[in-house]
Amino acid sequence: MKDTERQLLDRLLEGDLPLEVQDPVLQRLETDREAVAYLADRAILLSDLRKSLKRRRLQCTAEAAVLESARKTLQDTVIPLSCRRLAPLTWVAAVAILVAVLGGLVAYKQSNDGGAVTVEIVESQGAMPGSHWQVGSRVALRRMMLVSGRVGLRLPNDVTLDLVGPLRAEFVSASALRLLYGKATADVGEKGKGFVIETVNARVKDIGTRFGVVVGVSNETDIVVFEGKVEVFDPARKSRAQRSKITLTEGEAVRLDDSRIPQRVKMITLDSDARSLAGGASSDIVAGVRDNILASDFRRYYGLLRGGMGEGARLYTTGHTRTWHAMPGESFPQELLGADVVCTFSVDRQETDLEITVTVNRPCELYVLPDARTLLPEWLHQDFIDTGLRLRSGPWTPRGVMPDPQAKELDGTAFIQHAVWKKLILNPGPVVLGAPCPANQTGSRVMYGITVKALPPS
Amino acid sequence: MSKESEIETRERLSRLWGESEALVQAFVFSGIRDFQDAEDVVQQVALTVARRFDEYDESRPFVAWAIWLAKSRIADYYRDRGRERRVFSEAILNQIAAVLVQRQPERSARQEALEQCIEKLPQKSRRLIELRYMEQKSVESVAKAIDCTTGAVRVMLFRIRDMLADCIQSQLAREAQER
Repeated sequence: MKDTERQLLDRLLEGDLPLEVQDPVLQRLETDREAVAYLADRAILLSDLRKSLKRRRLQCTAEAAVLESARKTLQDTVIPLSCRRLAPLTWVAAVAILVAVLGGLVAYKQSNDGGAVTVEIVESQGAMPGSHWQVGSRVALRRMMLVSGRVGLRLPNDVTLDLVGPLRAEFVSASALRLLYGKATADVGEKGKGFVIETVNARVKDIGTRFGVVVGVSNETDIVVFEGKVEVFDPARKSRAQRSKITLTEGEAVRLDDSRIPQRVKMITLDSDARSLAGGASSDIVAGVRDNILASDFRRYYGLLRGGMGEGARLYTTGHTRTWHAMPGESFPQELLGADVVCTFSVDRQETDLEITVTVNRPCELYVLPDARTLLPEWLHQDFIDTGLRLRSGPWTPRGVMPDPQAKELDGTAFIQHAVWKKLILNPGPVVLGAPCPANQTGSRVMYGITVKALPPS
Repeated sequence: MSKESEIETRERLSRLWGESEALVQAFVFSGIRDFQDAEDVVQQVALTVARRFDEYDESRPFVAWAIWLAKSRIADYYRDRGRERRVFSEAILNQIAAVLVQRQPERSARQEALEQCIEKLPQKSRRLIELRYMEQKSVESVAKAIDCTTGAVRVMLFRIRDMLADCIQSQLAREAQER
């Protein structure tokens, strides 16, 4: 076949051939077996290519994050940072140098100059035994570097910082932290109101809250609000008048990159308490969660709790009292224990054209937990099977009212029963879930829950 | 069905699907233009395969059965979209399916060869295929991103695909000689 003919077949396969010139190509395919064989081989090549590139991108992202940390640590030591696959020996060498230089999992650079802030270590995972970075010790810090692990610091002004490595940061003052790379969650008490975390792309000011900030390898900054509110400013604009701000409330997250245009962050991996950013690698099951809500001011995120399903697991990214529970007198279903939980948001219960897409990385069972009191949507009947299991969510008390589980348990009104439907996913990729209820249904209902459990290796 | 035989069935299904998935994917991608839609349809095919696994006749190749199910899902896809024109007729799809079934024995060797061939591509070529096949950008967007004409992008992509296809062939030939 001539190159021009093959090019036309390629364009047809890739959807890049205008309709008006398709007919002669299609006619040829009807009669020419060689052309069909060529097309089928190209389809295999493209399918394999897409798969390979996708896997390489995931691998590359992980490598870049670790190497960035290593490079900053060694300052002038040359470690390749380009986004390409490293020969295994290069990778081993980089890690060996890193371990040799640091001599441990966690390392800090304590500054002797002014501007240091005296902090109390309230949590330390991964610190070397016998070092003075032990829980309960007090140290004066300005610059910090955390290669891996997790450290909690309490500042004099009632601010608690939860830092997850790899991380680089420095205190500007007791009320401001500059985050250069990594993940930080701030829990700000009354005395610390106005605490700021600044990055290259954002200045995040607390107005009574618990929030997280993540700075990635390209300086992109994700801001997540777990409770309360924050104001986010563009750090490039110096005067107050020039600064435009975004206000984020509980359950919202945005990303700011060099364009400084806020984009909704659709999924955040949460720590087991669902109120902090998770450390470590991302889930090997759930690659992402997105939905079809396009409103530019809609900034809710889906929270992912890796292996978090069980008694008391968080149901939504807002309303922290609402959690999953076994049915009265029963133990929590074994089948669901330890599954990844996708925290949805309660406001979606009224959406009639909602589509949530959960992208999974490996064969798994995906569970949807709808309100058992209401008519179930058609999509659930089509693609899922009822496991027969039941769970409860709650306690459903008015916002701001702390629940008294025992008292509410007696009248049974504070808990809602959920059915458990599941779908077997053999082929990793996106799985689309629909709205929580049929369009014509009215009355009270709650938004469904989602959990995902990997299939045991065959 | 006893629990043991249920586990065995699931394992067999998982193995057969794992061996055939890439070819089913290639088939669906050739029948549906939109990449995201095609991925969704592959997902639906996997579900159908799992649901109807007890109907599978073991005297036939599994991949042929899975592709046959995929053909129905592609037809459903176009039926749901009403007036949207199908890319290929039933006859062409059948012929493509027949070629894909023939290619099954060399599947894993091809995939391994492709991994090595991508390594050999120059950085610029890799960026180009990433933009087009991973980020799913249109030829026009790729041209804009690399400051080139659309015609030049089409030619470059065509050459890269040829380079990869040739590289895979010579890799397979070399391996056959070494055996």
